[in-house]
Amino acid sequence: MAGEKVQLLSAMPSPYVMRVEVALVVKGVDYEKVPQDLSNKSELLLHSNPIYKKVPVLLHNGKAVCESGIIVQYVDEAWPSADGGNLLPADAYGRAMARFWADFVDKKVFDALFGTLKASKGTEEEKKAAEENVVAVMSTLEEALVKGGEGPFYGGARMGLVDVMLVPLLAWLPAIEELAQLSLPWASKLPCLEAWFAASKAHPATAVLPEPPKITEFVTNVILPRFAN
Amino acid sequence: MPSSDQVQVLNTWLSMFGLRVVIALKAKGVHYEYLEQDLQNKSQLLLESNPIHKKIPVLIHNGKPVCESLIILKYIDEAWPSADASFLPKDPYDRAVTLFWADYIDKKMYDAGSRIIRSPDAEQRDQGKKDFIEVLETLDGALGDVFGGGPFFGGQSIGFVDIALAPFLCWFEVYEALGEFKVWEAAKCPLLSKWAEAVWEVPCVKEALSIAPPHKLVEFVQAMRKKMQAGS
Repeated sequence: MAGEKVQLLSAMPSPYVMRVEVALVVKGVDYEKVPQDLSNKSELLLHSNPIYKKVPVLLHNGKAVCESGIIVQYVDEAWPSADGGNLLPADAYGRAMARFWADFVDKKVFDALFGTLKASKGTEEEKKAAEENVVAVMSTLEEALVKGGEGPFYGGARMGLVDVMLVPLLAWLPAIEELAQLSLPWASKLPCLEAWFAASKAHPATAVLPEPPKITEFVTNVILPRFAN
Repeated sequence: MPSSDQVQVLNTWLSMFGLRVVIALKAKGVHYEYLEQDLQNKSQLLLESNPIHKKIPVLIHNGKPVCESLIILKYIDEAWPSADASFLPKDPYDRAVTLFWADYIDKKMYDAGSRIIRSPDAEQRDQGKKDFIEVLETLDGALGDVFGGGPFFGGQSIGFVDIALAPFLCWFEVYEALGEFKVWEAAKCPLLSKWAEAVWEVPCVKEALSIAPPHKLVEFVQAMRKKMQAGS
């Protein structure tokens, strides 16, 4: 749209920022990324998100939207797609289901994965428990994909809300698998999720995601030292 | 919606999240069956309707379950649309702002309140009190700066944030009893205190909140604490 200014306050390698960026690309919105230094927060960030002082923040013609799940749904509504390209389906129950799974991804998935990083510095028991937690969460995601019917995405043939919320896994999961030495039962227990990964990787919108080695570097240099005793 | 609609609510009187759903259904004039659940002995219906989290509230609409209170509120708003009783504004930006503040309540209010109730020592309880007061003062600020001053967050009539927040009012007496303070004396909330009086008088809110009378909640929590202290 002419005259629209869309800025995304970002920071590498926040998975929450990645969700918003992929949503913007899927919806075909022109935007400017404004990387933030989280160790020295800008006036713009503090003014736009005074409550949490975090990224991502979407600035649409100067007006701030915060919290990644809320931003993604805002992007869907502010730039409605004509041809069934919206992230949420039209029917109320379908929307409730998509929101439920988006909420599950938000509350359970990344916490479980970060838990394995923490546990990688802990005892064998802690490592085992953390890996079992990830397998349980992934199995739940697998079941949801199977029950949903048409794939390869949670949104069906096209990416929807849940896919956009989950897509930062493309950048993060390989790094975490390597650093926490996770072995997930892809072939035996998670075949639909494996297919989801392949389809998401091939989707043009995910080209904006950082390559896993960059995440590995960040985790090694910044996150793991925090967990060292 | 056809009168053959079947609507059930799985809840417990102890949940402020479930009361949100009751307020919303009453606000829309939807007939529903209220099914009080025993969370120590979860029913087949609950376990089947919410296999992932096994929690209440659950809304079951013609056999299809919807879980997570704010998701249920959005569903009720969309499944029973009405021009004059919409919970969310029409404009996408205003909606995003409204949802932000409902999410803030979810993230901050319950946690701070819980810490007043459950903290094993005075220091943690005092921190819970401090945080709780800060949440109220932040909401008071938002009511003034973001939502036009009231009387409600929804303007002249209740909306999404009002429904999300109102049930916590039942628990204020519990926080006061255990935290040994008076909420509206400790927290500087000129707008929010007025809101609390006004919202309780809204018929659908008053009816819903009568499920969890404050004095009964105080009795319940004090009995629970006695039991736990006797057991240790």
